[in-house]
Amino acid sequence: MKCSKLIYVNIGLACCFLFTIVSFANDDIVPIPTKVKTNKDLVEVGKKLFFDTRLSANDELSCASCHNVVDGWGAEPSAVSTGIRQQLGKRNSPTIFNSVLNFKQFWDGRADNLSHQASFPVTDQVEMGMSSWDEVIVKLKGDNYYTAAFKQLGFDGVNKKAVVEAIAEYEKTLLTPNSPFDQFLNGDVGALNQQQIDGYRLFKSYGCISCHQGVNVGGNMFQKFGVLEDISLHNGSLSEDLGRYNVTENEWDKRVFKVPSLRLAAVTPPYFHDGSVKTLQDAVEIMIEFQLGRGVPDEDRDAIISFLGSLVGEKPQGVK
Amino acid sequence: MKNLLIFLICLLFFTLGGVYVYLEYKALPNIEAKANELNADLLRIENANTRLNELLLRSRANMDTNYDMLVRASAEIESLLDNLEEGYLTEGADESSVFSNRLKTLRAAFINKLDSVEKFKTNNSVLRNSERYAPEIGQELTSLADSSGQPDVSKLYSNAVFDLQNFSRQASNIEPTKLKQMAVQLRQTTGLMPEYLEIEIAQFATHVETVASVKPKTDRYLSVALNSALDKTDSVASSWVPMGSQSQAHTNFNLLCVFYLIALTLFFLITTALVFRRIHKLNQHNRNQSGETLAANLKVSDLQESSSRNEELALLGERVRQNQPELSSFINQIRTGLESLDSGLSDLLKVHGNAVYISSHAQSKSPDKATISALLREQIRLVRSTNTDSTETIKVLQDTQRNAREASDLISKVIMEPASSE
Repeated sequence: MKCSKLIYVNIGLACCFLFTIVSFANDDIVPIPTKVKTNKDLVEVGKKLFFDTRLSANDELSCASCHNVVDGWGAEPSAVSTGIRQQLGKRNSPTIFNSVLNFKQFWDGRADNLSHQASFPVTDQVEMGMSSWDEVIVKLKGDNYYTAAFKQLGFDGVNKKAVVEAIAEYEKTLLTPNSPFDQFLNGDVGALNQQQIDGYRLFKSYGCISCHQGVNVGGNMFQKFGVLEDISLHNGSLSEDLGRYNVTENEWDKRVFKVPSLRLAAVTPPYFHDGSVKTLQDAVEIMIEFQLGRGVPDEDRDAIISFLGSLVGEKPQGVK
Repeated sequence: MKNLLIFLICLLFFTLGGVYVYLEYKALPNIEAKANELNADLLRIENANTRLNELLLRSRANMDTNYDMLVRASAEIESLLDNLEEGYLTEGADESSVFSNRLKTLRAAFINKLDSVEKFKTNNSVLRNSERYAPEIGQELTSLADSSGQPDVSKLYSNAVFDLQNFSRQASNIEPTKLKQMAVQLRQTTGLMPEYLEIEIAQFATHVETVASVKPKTDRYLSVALNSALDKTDSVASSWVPMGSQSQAHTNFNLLCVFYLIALTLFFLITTALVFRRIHKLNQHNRNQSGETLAANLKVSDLQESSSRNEELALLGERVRQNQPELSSFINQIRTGLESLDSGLSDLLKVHGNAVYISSHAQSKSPDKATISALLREQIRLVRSTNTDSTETIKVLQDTQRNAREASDLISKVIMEPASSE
């Protein structure tokens, strides 16, 4: 009799376990793919370009200068990046990892894809400071490697299209799969601790999931900064940048930004478009207050932060 | 030989020309295939549009809370539109054509749609959050109002939650203004409720207000998105005509074919004319050759005949020479005989002539006897003077006749022998 009760209890527990797995597996966040289809030869050229300082006017800055993928997580650890001639940018450099999963690029979404994005910083007078792409091409044509490699890849020699496509191809490989949360989604319930599981539940119940969802836990929509509370009420600079309005000049787009990915949020401070918020705790509190229109107890906030920590995956090998 | 060479060169030229025309034909843009391709592209856009609409409705119904599929569908439509423009609005295309305008209209409609999709996503996320949180905090505040001895406030909170949930339903008849007024009333309850609930009450009011303002926007953007670009693909498909370079390529090819056919026809006409002319000349030449051959044959025949006659004559001469002694003998004998006859017969002829004269004179009406007598005497004298024995004369004559016959036989033999010998 005792034995049969034990069996029923075990069956019940197994059902709960399966229900937990199934309910999470069908959730709004899906695991990052372990790799995306790329042209390996083009990736190699793109990698060289990503670290090539000749893309800047003074031959001192490369893409990797603001997106440190070797020692960091591909984001700028300071509030804003320092560009050419020590000029400071206006926005925080987001992580380059998993950026291929974003539906638009830049905080204001002015680039439709990675190759489009790669064309901007080079000629930005605050970032890399080249006067034109022609100037860039002249410099790169002096390198026989690029000339030969691009011809071999079927491009018409070294040109803007080839350069940005190569950089984009390399950036496609910068994925961080196999995070604890992805493992959890893939059925490994033990990959998350209880606080992280609670954090995920709170992440959904608080409504964070309304915007931060999908494979990249964000990066697939625009949202106004300060939906339920006016962000200008917050002390600081967060309300100064008009965001997407600068691109569309549409009143509706004032202070609208691309919803950032939270995949590496735990390891890429500071936060928000101007990098003015230094800690994740503050960022979560601001988000819940201004975006969700509610308060958050410290316990819930910490659980959510713990959950965000479980989103950090493995850095790919051979990034340089 | 020269004409054959020219003919072969021309034939080679036209063969190469034919190959060139074939290659040009193969390189021609296939207008029918292009039209089918366009229809296929438009169908892909329609399918992507249908999928996008379905995903929008699923998102609005909170069946999908993940916008990744929406993003993919939007990106697919953008990509298809880019491909459509790149594929059909080629360089040289008439930008003012109906097709170009309709394609631009289609793109503008989809840009409007995708813009509405983005706005829908933004508003829907906010609405989704407030629709979930407002009842949650409202019910909590209702309980707290009850426990605080505020039944009216509790009823207000309860009604607010009820109206909000009612409003959130599709086809609700509650006006947004009613909810907004309710939000104002909710804020006014802060003085009636414990002070520590002030923030929660404000949050409740804010979320009710948010639902009231965001839901119409969400539905409006959803409606715009769902109704944008309807039937635009049909108008694009119906207005397509081969444009610019495609049409020009076909015109050029038609001209090329016309020129090639004209040249080919001329070539065959000229060749045929030359062949007929050649045949005519050959016939004429044959006729001339026949005449010449005939003349030559005649000449040869004449020559052969002449040669044969000469040979015969030579043979005859030879025979004559061989029989000359015998013939000479006969001839001499004949000549001798004839000489004898001549002397003998001359006297006889005189006698005969005189006799005829005497006879004619004697038979006249008045014959002269003297004359007759004289004639008779003359006749007698003649007869007497004729020393030729007539028998001998006859004999000579017979010998001569025989010799002549033998000579004749000999001549006949000489003449006939070569013929018989041949």
